[in-house]
Amino acid sequence: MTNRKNHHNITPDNKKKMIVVAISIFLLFSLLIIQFFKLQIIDGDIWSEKAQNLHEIVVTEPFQRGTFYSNTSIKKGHPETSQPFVIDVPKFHLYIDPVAIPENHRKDIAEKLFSLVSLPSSQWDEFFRQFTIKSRSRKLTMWIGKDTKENILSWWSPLARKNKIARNAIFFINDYQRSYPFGKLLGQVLHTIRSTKEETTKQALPTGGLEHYFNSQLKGSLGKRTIIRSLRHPIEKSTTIVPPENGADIYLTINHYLQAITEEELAKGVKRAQAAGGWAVLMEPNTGEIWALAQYPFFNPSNYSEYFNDTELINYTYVKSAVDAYEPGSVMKPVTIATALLANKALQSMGKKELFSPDEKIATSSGHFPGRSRPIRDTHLHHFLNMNLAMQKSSNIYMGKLAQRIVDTLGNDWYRSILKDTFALGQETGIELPSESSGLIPRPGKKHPNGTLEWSLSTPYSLAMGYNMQVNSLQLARIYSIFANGGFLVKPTLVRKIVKTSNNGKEEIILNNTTPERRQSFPRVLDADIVEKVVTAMKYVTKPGGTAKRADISGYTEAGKSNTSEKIVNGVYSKEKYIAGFAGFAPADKPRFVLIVTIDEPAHIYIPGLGKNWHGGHSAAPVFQQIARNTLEYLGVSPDDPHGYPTGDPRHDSQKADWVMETKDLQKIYEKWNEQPHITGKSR
Amino acid sequence: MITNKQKDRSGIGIFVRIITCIIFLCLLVYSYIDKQNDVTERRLEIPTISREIRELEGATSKLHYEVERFESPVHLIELSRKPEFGHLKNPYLEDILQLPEGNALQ
Repeated sequence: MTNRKNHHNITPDNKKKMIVVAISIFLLFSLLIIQFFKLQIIDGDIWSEKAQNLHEIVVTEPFQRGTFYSNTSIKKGHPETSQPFVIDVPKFHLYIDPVAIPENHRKDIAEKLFSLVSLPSSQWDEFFRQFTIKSRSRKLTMWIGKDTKENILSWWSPLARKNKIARNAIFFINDYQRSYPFGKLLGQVLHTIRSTKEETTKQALPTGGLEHYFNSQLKGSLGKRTIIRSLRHPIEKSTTIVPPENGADIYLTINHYLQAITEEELAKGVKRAQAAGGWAVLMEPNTGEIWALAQYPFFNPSNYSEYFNDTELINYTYVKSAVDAYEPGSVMKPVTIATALLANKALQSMGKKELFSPDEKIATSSGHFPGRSRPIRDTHLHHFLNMNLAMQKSSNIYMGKLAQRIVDTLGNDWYRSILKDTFALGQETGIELPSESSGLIPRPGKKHPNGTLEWSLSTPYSLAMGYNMQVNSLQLARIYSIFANGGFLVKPTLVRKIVKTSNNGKEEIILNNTTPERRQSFPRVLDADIVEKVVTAMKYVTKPGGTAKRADISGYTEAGKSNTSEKIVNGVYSKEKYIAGFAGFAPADKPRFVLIVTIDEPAHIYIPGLGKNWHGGHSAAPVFQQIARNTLEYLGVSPDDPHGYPTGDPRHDSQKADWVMETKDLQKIYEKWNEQPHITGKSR
Repeated sequence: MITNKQKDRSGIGIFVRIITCIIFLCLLVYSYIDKQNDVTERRLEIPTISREIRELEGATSKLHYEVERFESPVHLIELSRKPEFGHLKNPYLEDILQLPEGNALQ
């Protein structure tokens, strides 16, 4: 009844007011809904992103740069455990926030920190200067260890609390330091990365070598994940936006132990010869796998900045066996002989008379050749020589005579094509190192910048004895591999495999150089009978009467050739600066490796009892002998010349030692032709 | 005809059922919240554990580096020249007998 009464009491005015209020409320609610729709539906993504940013932070996930592993598969019967050349060790960079450190505490804090990080006193001024710069982040020092970090924190935390200084006025940035457990070993080949990384991408900056060549494979990419903001604790949300991607690992052909042997013996040899430096290449002749690539003076990647800030030391950082091309000299004589034997075959196929016979008695007393103002000379006068004697005595005149016959019968272009196509001279080996030199062979008809012809009338005679051309040691190793493997042109390599491991542990092989297909792809460039003749001739070099008796490996057979090349200084051949070398392989019949030893600028002195120090047979041959012997022993190769030990050794037996009878027979021929009662063998 | 007694009984029944449902719901909610707390607790531990793992990995790398440095070939060559290791030599290949894994275990 009351309600009805009240209902009747609503006046038209009140009714209107109520309608207005109701409509207003409706409109307000509508506006609210519209705004709600705008916020939630139209701008929903923007606001949810903003909200997310308020509660979550994105942190980067570090990645591991790929590493290099030694070749542990060459020693049969031994476990093939992974042996890294590089290990990334976690370290810290020390930073300060100078604005947060009160001025009255600066000096005390700086002095204490300076003593804790043990920097040299010369760096104090620069160290303290960082405290005076108005910045929120100054780097004081890099690569400090965990112990030093903990020492700093145990001093700093109570001090900061006591003096009411912000605790994060001193802070640390985590980083991985590229560390080398074997120190300087393989330094020039590996190189390193700079201590500071690229600002935006946080990628390492390589300084050279393999680090530079394979940078794109070695580098990974940073990951990103979210963490929920919290006052006290960050909460792991496990939301990975982008997973970190580690770099690929590179399995090298270099064996760490053989590298150590080669470096040690090379350093001894360079010091003994009082030389400016030296380098050596140890290569498997069938696959082109390089087992050791040594160079002295060494380059320690850990101290790279010392080398790069010194104009002289920086030269020690290049891989000279790849970068430096030089006139090889007498080590090219086996190539000349092989070319002459190839010419024989070419003439035979044309139905013409052969160029020469290996047993032919060729006059070598006169070194006059067309186009040469001065005659070619041998170190000792030999009246007549055959092929084996010419190799043993390293006769320049004999090689010149062969070259003369080659160009007279088949022409300059044929000679050049053999050097270029058969022995791949003037072409890079494709080794996985930056700045490889392609070397040089002159081109008929082309001119030098000074207007003179690259290929003149006298060029073939110079080429025959290894001058007028430039070769790097890797090219030389490739050439000697042809003789060691029976005639195949291999491609030298430093890499066996590149393997990328994904986050789930799955391995993907990016590059595989160990396949049989790779080996089968090497072309045959010399017939087996030619190789056999050249190797036979090279076996005399290290025997009595040869130029490099000091390369004779006790207990093993070997074949090789020494060289003593004059260096060009200020445009002329120097009579004091030489490149001495020895190139060879062992064992001679079933070679396990090819070894090239080069000694740069051995002292131009005569050593009583030894001879001319600058000759390859004196300075480089003993290095070859030591490296080869240690390598054969390490590989477990049984002596194939069990009586071929020096006189006085109980194992020595001159009647049973390898190649002694052949050498004696050759000596008889030499004496008969040259009327000399004794073996001299002192030519280059 | 439904008597008042029957009506009362059915009202109590409904009440008991509702209470049971509410209790069951509360238990479910409690269990859910408890689980969430547990998860949150675990999540809070992750950064600490991650840090510990990183530290352990770092220590492993450092130890690995130290071991490799000690076993560096240069050091091993030096050791091999000492008289006490003079009896050691590299075996010849023909002296090494390699057995396939299966046969070795028989």
